[in-house]
Amino acid sequence: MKWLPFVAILGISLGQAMAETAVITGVRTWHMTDGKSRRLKLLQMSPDGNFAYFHDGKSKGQIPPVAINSLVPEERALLEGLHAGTVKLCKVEGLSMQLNMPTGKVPELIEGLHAGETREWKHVNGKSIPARLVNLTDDDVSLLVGETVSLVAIRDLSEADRDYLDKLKGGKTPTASAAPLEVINHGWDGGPSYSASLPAERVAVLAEQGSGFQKALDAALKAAGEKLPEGSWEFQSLKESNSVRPNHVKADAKLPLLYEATILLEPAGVRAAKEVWPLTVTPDKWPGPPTLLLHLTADGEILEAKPFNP
Amino acid sequence: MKPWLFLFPAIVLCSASAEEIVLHRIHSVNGEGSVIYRVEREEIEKVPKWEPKVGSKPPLSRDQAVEIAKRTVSASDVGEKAEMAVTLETTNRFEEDIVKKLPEKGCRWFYVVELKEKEKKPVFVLVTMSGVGVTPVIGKQ
Repeated sequence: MKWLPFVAILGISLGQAMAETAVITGVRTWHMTDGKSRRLKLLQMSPDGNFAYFHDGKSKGQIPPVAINSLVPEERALLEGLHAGTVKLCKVEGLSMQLNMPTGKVPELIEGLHAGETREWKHVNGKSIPARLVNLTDDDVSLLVGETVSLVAIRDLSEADRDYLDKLKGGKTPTASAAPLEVINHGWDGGPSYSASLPAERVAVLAEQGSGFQKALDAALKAAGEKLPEGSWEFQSLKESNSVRPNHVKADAKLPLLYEATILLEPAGVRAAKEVWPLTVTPDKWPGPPTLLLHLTADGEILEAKPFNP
Repeated sequence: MKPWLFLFPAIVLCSASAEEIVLHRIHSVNGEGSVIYRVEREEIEKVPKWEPKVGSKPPLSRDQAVEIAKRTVSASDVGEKAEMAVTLETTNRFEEDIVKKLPEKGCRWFYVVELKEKEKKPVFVLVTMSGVGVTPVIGKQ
């Protein structure tokens, strides 16, 4: 049975590779080892990872740092994960993660709420309700029906709802409240010819991500290799620059880096490229050599170009 | 024999090894001139040929190129908060007069780093794969 340890090691390695980073809001009821508990918003960890900084939603500033060994083991492990990078704090723009979201009938607050689109939320008891998400914490969601906000514990929601919330926290699901943001507009001659957009949450996540030069380069080469006939294209350049500043994004807000791959085309390449990326190939009367542009994100997504719509 | 005569071959050798060639040129829109980047031939020859393929990293990383570009320009021109654009590219094959003077061996890929401080003109630096940063000169078309 000499091979058993190798199988075990392989299993552990695969498990580690497959484990995704958990994302938390940091807003929850935190439990101390002395039996006390407090609903707090986690702000950050101390550089050594031994203390956590919280806000209680009432004080003017944050409360004194809390030693992580004064928390129950499960929550201490969560903070250790945060310090180690296996757990992340959610930073999705437009997603409300308030400590004290009012409940009940709140007509005066509705205009200021970041409400998602109406979706069907399902309780574990089988009942479902069409409602709009207005706040998310690690313990509960605030759902808006009409003018009334209700608090529902996440553990009482269906698995599909819990998956949806996990994706939302990870920036993988667009919060329906936010319209896609235009991050590229490009013109072949004269005015703009096409544009490309990203969901607001993706813009926020990519802005935090920073450079992904190699990923974008690999994605562009892979796409060209798969879609264009061999020998019909030649990679010319990859440019990394900030996205255009979308409307409604603050002047000082960080912008995501986007990538523009320039690929020179032979006639067979032009024909194939026009099938797949019709808007981003140089027009027929273009004075220079036929060229394909691919616009990519830092994590290698090729942006879909749409006819420019001012 | 005068001692300075011994230095003559060395001077000739030095000037021969420092031959500069154009690696990159950008034509102006109005056709009046162009922006030219010259590098020493040996900087191209120093790094083995590289062609972009999936999973094949360039000999110099994007981060290294940015560091070199920042070191190349004056601190008064570019601060820490300068906006940046980084392009990995190769000599345009349609620039035949440039391509025919390039060495057969070596790496023809390079980075162009654009650094722009608010309300100032952008500064451009070409960084060879051997890690040398050069600023452009204005040349004739």
